[in-house]
Amino acid sequence: MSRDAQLFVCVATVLVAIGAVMAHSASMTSRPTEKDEIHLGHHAMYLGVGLVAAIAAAVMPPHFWRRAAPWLFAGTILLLVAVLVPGLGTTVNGARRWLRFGSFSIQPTEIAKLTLPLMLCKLIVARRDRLGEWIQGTAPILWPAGIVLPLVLLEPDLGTTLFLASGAALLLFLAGWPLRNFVLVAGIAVPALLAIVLVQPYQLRRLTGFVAVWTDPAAAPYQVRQALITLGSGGLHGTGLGQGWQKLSFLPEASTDFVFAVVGEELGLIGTLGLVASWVGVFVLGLRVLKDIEQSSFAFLSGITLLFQLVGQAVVNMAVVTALLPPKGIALPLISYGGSNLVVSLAAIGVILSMSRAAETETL
Amino acid sequence: MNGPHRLRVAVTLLAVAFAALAVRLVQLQVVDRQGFADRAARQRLHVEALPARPGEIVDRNGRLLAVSVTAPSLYVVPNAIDDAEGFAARISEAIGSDGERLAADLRRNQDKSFLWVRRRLSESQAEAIRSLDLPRGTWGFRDEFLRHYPQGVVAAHVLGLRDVDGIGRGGVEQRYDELLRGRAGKRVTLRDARGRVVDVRHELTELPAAGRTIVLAIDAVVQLFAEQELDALMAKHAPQGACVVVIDVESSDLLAVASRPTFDPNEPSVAVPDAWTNRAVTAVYEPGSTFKPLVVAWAIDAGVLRADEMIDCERGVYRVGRRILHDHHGYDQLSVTEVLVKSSNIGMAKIGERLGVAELHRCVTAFGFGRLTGTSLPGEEAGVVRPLRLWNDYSLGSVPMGHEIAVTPLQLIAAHAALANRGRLVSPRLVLKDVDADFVGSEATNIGDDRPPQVKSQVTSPESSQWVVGEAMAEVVRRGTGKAASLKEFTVFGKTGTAQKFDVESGRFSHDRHVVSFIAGAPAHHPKVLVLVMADEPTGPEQAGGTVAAPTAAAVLRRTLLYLGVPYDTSLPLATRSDGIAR
Repeated sequence: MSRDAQLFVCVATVLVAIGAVMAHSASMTSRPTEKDEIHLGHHAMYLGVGLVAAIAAAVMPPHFWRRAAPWLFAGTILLLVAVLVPGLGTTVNGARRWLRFGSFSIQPTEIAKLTLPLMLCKLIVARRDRLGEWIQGTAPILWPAGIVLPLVLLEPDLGTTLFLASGAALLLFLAGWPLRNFVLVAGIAVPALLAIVLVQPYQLRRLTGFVAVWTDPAAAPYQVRQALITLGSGGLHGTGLGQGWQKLSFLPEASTDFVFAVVGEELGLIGTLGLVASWVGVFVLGLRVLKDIEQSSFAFLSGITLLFQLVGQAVVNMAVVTALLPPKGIALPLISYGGSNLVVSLAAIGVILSMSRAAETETL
Repeated sequence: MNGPHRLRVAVTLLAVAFAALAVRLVQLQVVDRQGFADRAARQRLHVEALPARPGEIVDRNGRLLAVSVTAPSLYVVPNAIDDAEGFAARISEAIGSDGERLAADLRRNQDKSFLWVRRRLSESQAEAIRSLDLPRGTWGFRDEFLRHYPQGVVAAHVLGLRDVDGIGRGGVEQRYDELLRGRAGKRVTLRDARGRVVDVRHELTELPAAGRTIVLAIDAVVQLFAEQELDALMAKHAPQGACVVVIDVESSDLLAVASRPTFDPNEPSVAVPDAWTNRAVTAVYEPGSTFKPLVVAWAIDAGVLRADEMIDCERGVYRVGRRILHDHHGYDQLSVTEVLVKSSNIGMAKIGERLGVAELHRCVTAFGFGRLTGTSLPGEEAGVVRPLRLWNDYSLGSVPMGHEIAVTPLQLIAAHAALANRGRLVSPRLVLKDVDADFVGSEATNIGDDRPPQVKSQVTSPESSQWVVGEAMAEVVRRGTGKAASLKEFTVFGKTGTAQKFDVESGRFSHDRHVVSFIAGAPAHHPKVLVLVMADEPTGPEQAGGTVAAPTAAAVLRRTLLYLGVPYDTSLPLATRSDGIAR
């Protein structure tokens, strides 16, 4: 492994370690019970699965992913359909997003974050020369997104749909899809999106609530308000690890989507900027790891897309917590407590490492 | 190939996002930090009041009349209760309340986390609740102070009561509420969003200061005598209401103030509406003949009357201005003593004519009528004394026999106490002092500060006062209208009164509603104790002060004197008994 790859793994490991500590701290309650310990145990379990997945992914040769992409994609579609079947999918707050197996649960959309880009890359690389054409070039490569995005939207999970669409768009952009096509698609997609937001009252409330934060903080939704209070009250140094108050039920989702706020309260600006810097490190080192690969190759395109998705999700999460973006249920990769996201994020790092070896072998 | 170029654009965009994030974090965590920190502190700091133990009320000898004990109050957590009906049924059975209503309350408040079920339970009720073994987290007890009046109805009107929220209502409880209540402390706790206490900020804690103990002038034993005799009077004559006041002549300390109908401050909910009235300070009535001795003493001092002169009582018919006065029986010449003994209105009118309206008005105000006595009991009335300019010849024939003015029983007994105290008026005293909860520092008294000082003034001369009390009023009891008040152990002096009621609302005196009263004191040669009995509209055949009120006054007087250890004086030679001065 190259020095960059080693450093890349190191920084990712640091983030995972911080995540384990923060997931535990943020799940503390005012009356400690065994449940708090179970939280950490749960997290460790997902972490274990994720590490196995990461190592397995990393040792695979890059061409394995190209061959396996259709099968992985097909499996993802099965899971996405299964989650919509009443009785199989678990409904939480009106959204059917989870497949539950005992105490273990899978969120198929998280897996799609990994398998959809791989599938798209495989198709794009095969038709790279005809990307400018609609029928011959674009339709044959975009059909997987055409299947996955509606399925995710049906759960409903608008946030992840947007996220997956953004990943696909980034991929097309890097692969050289004509810019005029982006303008065209945006002309269709933006009004469609607005329609969806306006039809769903709760989506609209999220948006108006987000606007309210900037104009009148007191009128902002409870969760956003609490997130800002939590972050802000930490100051420069924070209250000290484990000594935050806001996680004691004041801040909803303290250990999952809003764990960054707890970092802000307990570790202060030093902690939050440190975390931001670590993510910059992951990004920069990831770019360096992939820089020697042929830029039009499957390995490069899929590696760079997964890297952007991983770091991009972190940026979006931190932007949501700091109220720079409207509230949206999105986890902070590697840090947030447990779940499919941790496993898939770790697996993505493994895939990126696997792709990095394409430069050495030159087989693709 | 525009690949590298496009990658640079994407990387730059992400870099900008990172930079924006860093700037935002500095803004939130450094620039705006204080505001967020304050809000965070506000939502986790809770200030909890620590109730102060209310002070006690004791009688002049330290006997407990009102005391606060802790009692468990039952609350429930409606949002933790699944089966409201079953829950309510079990609780209601244990404490004997309305289960349907509790169930309805529970349903109505099912998203709340606190609801009182019953405040201040008895120990047996609390035990019954505990033995129900209800699910943890759905109920609890919180200790509250329960006001207890160990003597029950004794002195109920003087004490008043402390309501469910700990606020004094009526009597001393209301008048000295601030002193009794003490000062609540506070405790600052840190709580999580579910309201669970996580930490206590001891450095911000303020301890409560217990209320002051109030020492009354009342003697609980004398009060008990008054209550018992008053009950007997009520049973026998069934008046609308009645009251008894017992006063220590020298100090004007009120030894007993009892009123009927009454209430048990421990059970205020069962009291009749009229029970809250303390007639001793709120009943406003024409004093009638009980007023006569005061005018006689004043007239002697004014030099218009000699104690040994004879007054022509005109055979029972006498014209004053446009008005013709009648006596019950016609008399010729009566001594001043006889005027009082026979309660001759004509005799009094003649004395009034000699005084004139100005002097008569001075007499009335000098004895303290028309203004508050200074006990400051809630609801006390000042009575009615019209200004001098409204008085005329008519007044000369009505005021000397206790008409045309209206007084409270407390005013009347205070005026008579002045007469019995060798003419020296001392405003009646209900409260002696306040002391701290441990009964030390007894001289530190805030009451003295916020209460007007006791008025002390020489109203009539010692000589005339002693003559009226020891001679004329003693004769009233010995052989006049107050015979029913005579005692074998003591020489009693007294005066009956039968008068028309003053209706405060209409501003007139009623003709069909009577107030009968009797003022009695003993020993006549050196008065110690004075008793006033007033009965409002007695319903039996007996309608006169001498038959309705006098026996009660005598009974209270006798028991009080015996209790106080006042030596018998009836066996003493007559000369030493009544060293009355005749001028």
